[in-house]
Amino acid sequence: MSATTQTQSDGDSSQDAETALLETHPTLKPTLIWLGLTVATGLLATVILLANPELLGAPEFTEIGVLIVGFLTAAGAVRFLVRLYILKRMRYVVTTRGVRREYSLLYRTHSRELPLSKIRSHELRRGRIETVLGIGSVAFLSTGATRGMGHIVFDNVDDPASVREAVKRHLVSNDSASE
Amino acid sequence: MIGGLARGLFYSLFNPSSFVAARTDTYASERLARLRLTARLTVIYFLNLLLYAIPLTLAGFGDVGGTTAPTAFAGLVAPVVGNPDSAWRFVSSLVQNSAFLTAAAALTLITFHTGVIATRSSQGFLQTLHTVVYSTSAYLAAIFTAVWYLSTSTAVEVADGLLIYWQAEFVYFFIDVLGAPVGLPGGRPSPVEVSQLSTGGTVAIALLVVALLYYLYSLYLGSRINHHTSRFTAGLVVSIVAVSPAIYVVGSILAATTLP
Repeated sequence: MSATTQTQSDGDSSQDAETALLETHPTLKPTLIWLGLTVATGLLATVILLANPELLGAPEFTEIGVLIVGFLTAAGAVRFLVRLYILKRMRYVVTTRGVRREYSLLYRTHSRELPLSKIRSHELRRGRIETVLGIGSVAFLSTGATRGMGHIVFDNVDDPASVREAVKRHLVSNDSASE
Repeated sequence: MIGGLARGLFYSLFNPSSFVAARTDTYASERLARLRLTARLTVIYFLNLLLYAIPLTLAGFGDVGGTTAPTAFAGLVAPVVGNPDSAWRFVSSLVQNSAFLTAAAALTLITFHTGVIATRSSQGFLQTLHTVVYSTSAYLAAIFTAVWYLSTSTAVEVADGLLIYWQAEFVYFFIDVLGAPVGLPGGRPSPVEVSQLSTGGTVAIALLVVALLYYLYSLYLGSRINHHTSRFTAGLVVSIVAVSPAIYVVGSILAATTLP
């Protein structure tokens, strides 16, 4: 699917066309798994403590342990729920101009774009679990260092190879056109 | 500003990694920028310190009582405040209430940076400063606040006794291991009857332990994110910070038994 938008520069009769090459969203799978693991672990720990009141030396210590487990489980669950909310509203866009990562939250829009002309390298990262899930991350870098000022990472995308290929194809065609 | 505080509170509870993460690309730039950032982090630390110490001081803790303001101080504040002696007492109490937290923060800074240097992982002092400023401002302050509440509230006396018992047992463990002929001023404490623990005391101790876990975890994240260490190295760095109280106790015991 592609969409074309056209803009006109002041004092310039030529028209700039930006075509969207690819639009995708991060997958929720890893976050859902982490949320499930957090809640399950918290519940299991709570059940074990309640079933064994003397486990920590005294029932009162077990009560403290249950409170600690409960608080940490709740904090973890809230964290992953908020992340799910943000991920659902996040978009990764590759256009003929650049790569863009954007989301809106509480009436504020966060958008970060890296022009294709600035991209010097790209990385595909897949851990073992990500490979099993069929997801990965694609990082686009404008400097040599992975943590330099110019880098955008598309985290947890389904089929990260196609995202990387879309950018690579366009970078190659840009290089050919300029030669 | 309120949005920033709310965001900071949210991150400190639900996303500690964002809370302690430093902008390492910024820190990599020139000396003037690094100096500016050091100053900014120092200001952040002292603002948070005041946020912690002012309520304590207003509640009457650390009150040195009956002191007269030095002449220079009185001359400076007299045009602004009505009573220089009261202002001096307030400032003295504020400094006293800030002292323990500042000492603990300084100890954390030294042991944490020693840890990253010893493991040959240091990315710079600013990364350590950023980690420690944020972790101590939030989590260490929460630990001290919980301890203050336990030591002052009459509704949680058993919990307070339990906390004192644990601390004393910690010291006596090393006294027994070293076979040192020393003891604490109150002597070896007797076990606390925990069946008398109130709901408030139970909750206060649980929150104290949670704050301690957050504090250690934030240091772990600081090592991982700001110094790019592995999980094992970050665990090692945190262990160095965690054993520093033990080192302090052992040092105090040895000093008491060897020095004239």
